[in-house]
Amino acid sequence: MIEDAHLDSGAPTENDPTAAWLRQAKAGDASAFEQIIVLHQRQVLTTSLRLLGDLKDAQDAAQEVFLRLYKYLHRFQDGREFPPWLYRVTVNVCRDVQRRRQRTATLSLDDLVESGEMREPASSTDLEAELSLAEKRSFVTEALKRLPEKERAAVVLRDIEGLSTREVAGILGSSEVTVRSQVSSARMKMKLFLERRLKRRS
Amino acid sequence: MNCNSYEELIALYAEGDLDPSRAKNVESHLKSCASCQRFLSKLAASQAMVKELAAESLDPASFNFVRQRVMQEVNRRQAARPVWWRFLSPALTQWRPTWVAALAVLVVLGFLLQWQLWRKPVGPDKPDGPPVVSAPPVQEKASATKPPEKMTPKPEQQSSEPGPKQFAKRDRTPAPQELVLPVGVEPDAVTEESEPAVEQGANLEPEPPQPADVTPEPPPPLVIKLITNDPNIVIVWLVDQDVQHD
Repeated sequence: MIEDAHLDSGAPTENDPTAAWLRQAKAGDASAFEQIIVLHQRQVLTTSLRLLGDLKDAQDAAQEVFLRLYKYLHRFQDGREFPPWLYRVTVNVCRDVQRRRQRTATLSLDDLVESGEMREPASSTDLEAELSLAEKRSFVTEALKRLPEKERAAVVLRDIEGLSTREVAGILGSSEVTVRSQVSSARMKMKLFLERRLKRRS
Repeated sequence: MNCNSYEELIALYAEGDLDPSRAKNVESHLKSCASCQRFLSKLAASQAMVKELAAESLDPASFNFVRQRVMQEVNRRQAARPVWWRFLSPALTQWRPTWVAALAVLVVLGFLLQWQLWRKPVGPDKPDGPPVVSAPPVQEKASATKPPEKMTPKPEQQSSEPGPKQFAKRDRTPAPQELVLPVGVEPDAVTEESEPAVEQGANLEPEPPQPADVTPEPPPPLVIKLITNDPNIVIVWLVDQDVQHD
């Protein structure tokens, strides 16, 4: 949780405008806290949306992330890099939201293959052919929701947020080897899921 | 190593997540395996769709909605705090190490103070400094034939004076009641007295009767006896009364 969110990220961020806002927010300046939200709302809300797959849930999660940030602001040590810390809070909040709602059931790769849904398409199909952008995003969002929780977090941070494997490992509190394994598994499952969706559509 | 194992590596190779040695291994396998080449091609297409999602931007209203709700709650919480906390919290949160250090110093000072109070005797009859060890404790005895009130200290000091054990520690100031006590009370002292011993009992009376044949001009000397722990050693000090009156 927030208490142990000391990431092995690096150096003090003198050039980071967030650091100045954080100092003022710690002193009780509400407008400074609002500036922190403005600077990082994209990171929190979009990550929550990828992890939860629903905008309303993501907004609830983002609100919870910033309120937790406000509550535990004094525990954030000066000199720590802020975005990885915020990513970690976001992942934790979305995990809690996901467990509370239990809207989507996750399937393992073996389950999908055994059910017949994940067989290789008979012909090599161009996945992107004649797909609208909205359809593509919808399919990917659906594929992400089918992934196990930890794999989804790993692949969202690595492939969508574009963080390095080391940064993802720091945020999730696991090793780089574990993250690579989770990312590899997630990519293969998403590939199979998207192929199935394309086949069904065609 | 079969193709299924290579697929796990290819899923990492497609995004550059393999170290150079493993990447070379995968590349050499891909050159000789058409199935794995097809897998790589499909995985790359799938990853391209995932990256499309990364490029998606949300409606600004979605961000504003969240920010407004958060700030409403933040302002509500700040308003609910007492006024003194609004002024005190910045100091408490920003100077936390300073406060912890100050508290630690206070605890140490309090401990030292308590230790000193416990160590230091409270009563007025105990000596402040270290006891004199060069000489054995001496008990001072004083007897006077003439006005005892001259030597009598304050009454409250007499009443609070402890027993002889504490008195033995005094080597400077004679115990007040010992000065007014007649020598007759102390049997040893009485036997050591020579000429004034007969008249010592008169001190018990408020107004000692004077014999008719005794002339009042030569007042008897004041006798101060210092009794040591050794019963065989008694120090007698004779003080001229006239000198004291003057």
